[in-house]
Amino acid sequence: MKLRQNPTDYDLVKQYIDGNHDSIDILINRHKDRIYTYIYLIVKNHQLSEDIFQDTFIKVIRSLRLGKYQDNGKFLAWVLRIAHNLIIDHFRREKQNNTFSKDDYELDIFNSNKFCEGNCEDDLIRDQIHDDIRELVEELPPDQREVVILRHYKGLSFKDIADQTDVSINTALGRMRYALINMRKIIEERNMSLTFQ
Amino acid sequence: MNEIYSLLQHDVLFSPDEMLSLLDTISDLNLFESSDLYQLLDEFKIKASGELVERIQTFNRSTLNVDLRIPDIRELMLN
Repeated sequence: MKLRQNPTDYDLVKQYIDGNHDSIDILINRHKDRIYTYIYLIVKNHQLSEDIFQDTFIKVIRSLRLGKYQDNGKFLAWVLRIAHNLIIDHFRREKQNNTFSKDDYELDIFNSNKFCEGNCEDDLIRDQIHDDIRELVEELPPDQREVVILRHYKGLSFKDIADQTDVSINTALGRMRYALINMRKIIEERNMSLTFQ
Repeated sequence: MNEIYSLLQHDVLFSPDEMLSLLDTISDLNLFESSDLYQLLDEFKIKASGELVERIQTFNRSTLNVDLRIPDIRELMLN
């Protein structure tokens, strides 16, 4: 399919949905700086901005392919809202992990949740869930386990994981995907509950 | 737009709770279609790296036959 010389966002989205997978490249290039700037101005950290930017476009691609996007000519506004929601998710996690800290980038161990007053039962449940998850991770094949640990326990980006394990980013992403599938399979087989209320 | 300007100073002024409250307010304001916001973003323009864009483009091409409905690992509460 040939692209028009100056296609609108609407044209490009439609072309993408119709199967021209290259049209998303133009959309990304057209809006990347505004979206990256929005994320960076709020989180003020390049590594984190890159992760959120990447997650934003993965969500965009996923939504377009699943037909979840209703085009009303406001593609950029839609993508900015996705980025904004991911930023909120980030700050919610920050709040959970480090309840009282005012500094988003330096962890103060005395401000950790561990030192907050809590219900002993909640602590037990939380510990049990963490133990169960650790056991699940231990059961994964070594290459998948490595990616999960580096991503979710050490907080590395997929780029850093790829560098550190000497594989491509796609391989690292693929290993994470298979790790998820395997973990979900075990959870279902054993009827495990990993929900903390 | 005042909320956006406030956010730009958050490292000095805001706790995570205040940040979340401000971000929630912005969610409700429908600022994402605002030409003022686009103007501000162009003014502060920070370029996304070519490598980052390339990673997304590679993701797009390499997952053409992949089922993207698989939920995110965060659902498993690994954090």
